[in-house]
Amino acid sequence: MGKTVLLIEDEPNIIEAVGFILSRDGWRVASHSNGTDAVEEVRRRMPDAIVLDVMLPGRTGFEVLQELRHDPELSVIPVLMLTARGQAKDREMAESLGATQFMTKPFSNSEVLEKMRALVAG
Amino acid sequence: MKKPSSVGSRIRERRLFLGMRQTDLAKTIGISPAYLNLIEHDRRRIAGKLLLDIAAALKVESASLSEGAEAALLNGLLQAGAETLGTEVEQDRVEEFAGRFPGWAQLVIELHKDVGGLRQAVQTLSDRLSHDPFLSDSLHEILSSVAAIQSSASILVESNNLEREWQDRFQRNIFEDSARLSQTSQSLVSYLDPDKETETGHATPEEEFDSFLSACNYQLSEMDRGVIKASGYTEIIDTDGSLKSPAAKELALTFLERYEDVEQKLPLQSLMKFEEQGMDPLQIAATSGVSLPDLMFRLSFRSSGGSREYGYVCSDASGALLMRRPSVGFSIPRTGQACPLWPAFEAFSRPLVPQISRIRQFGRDGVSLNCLSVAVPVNDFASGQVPRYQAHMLVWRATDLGRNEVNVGVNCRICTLSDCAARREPSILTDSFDSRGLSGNS
Repeated sequence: MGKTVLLIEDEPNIIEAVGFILSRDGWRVASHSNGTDAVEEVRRRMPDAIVLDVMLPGRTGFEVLQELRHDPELSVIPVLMLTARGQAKDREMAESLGATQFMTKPFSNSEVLEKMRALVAG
Repeated sequence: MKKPSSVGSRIRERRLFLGMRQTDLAKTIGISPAYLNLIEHDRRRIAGKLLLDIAAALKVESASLSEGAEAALLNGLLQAGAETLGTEVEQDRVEEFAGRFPGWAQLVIELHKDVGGLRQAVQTLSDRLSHDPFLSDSLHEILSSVAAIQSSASILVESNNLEREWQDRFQRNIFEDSARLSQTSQSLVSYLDPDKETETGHATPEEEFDSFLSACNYQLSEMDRGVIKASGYTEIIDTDGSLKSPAAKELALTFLERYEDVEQKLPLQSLMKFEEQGMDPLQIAATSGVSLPDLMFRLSFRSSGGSREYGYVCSDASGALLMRRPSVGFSIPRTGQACPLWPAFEAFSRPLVPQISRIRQFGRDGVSLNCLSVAVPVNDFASGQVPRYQAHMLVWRATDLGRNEVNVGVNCRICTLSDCAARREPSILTDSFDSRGLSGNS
């Protein structure tokens, strides 16, 4: 595919595993591990898609998502939000802030690929 | 210091509090000391004029002596009927039922209390997951570890001809995440199930302290009589055993020091004189010079002897309840947030202005309550700081017909008031458990 994805996630082993399967699927993968300057990183890289965790150091994933959606240039980038299973409020919040897709932890690798393909197809 | 549960016990306790001899009281009301002794030991039932005469001699309202067995049974049955949804009860026959089947009536009340306790436990558990940062963080960490393990393991199993380097890396990741998962799980178990030395049966030190106050019936008569100072309670708290955690003991000592401070500003005897003159709390504050928050505290936590029972809460601007004193007709949630309709929270919009209102809490047997609320600053904002307010709310039973009465609840979670604009979450009494909250799956 050749599309780029930015993984905004502070768990290095999740970045490594998800990055591995996405790169084998043809994605070019970059990662960023905190919320403080996540928006600046998005602006610098201008990825084709973003995977964004809710719990991040510095700023939460919700705050990052909100700022992305308020920026005309960045708001068009589709976002896959990672929430915790059992926290329905997280999904409702993400939905209200404009996340494109959701995925709850823990997730399967096939689910990751399916969601990412749907993210850029739409 | 448990509250007397019978008419005779209440009479005896009040007489002893006033320092009155049995012979003196008997002479005042025109009966023999021997007959009074039978009454105080509940071997003779009294009502009507004799009860009124005794109440007058003891300077209390007769209701405060008689609201015991029969009234408690009726009120308990009416409350159970009102709070149990989907069941039509014959309210007009409640006296007949209680009179003919007191044992069954008591059983209904006890079962209703058990159900209420279970509901509270459910609320506590669901509130903890929402409001406990340690639980929330631990949950996220566990799920992240599991996600990493699952993803790495799938790669190892499903990838054909995976390079050796990648195999090593993912196996190492699984090992690291497994260890972290084990550690997080152990921390969580320890947090939720502490060892026997610190086990209190309560979720927080605040709950532990609330139980301590409740066990004392919200009064410290030894301090009111000057028998014990706050410092003297240190040893009692350490040896009593009802307060186990250091945080709860600290809360208790802070409370006792405030109790002593307020008692010195307004001794019990002075307070009783104001009450005997029929003054309301605003008048007492104006006459005595004691601040309203101090007066509210004084009225709420005092020895028996007053004709009124007061309920009281103190809240900070986030809605956290810092002090709780429930009363008849006024329930206070032990965890989570209270009903947003309470006048205490309205007081923040008009700080320093005392507000008088009338409320009726849903679910009780229709008790109309007078309500005094005020928000006052707790810091010195004259020096340029942003003022930080605490709200104080005092309630007591109204004796006249209500005007502009407002229906309020305990909290949203167990309230069935419909069309409430202030509701912030669904009630577990009206929504299924699968729709939100407990099952969690969206």
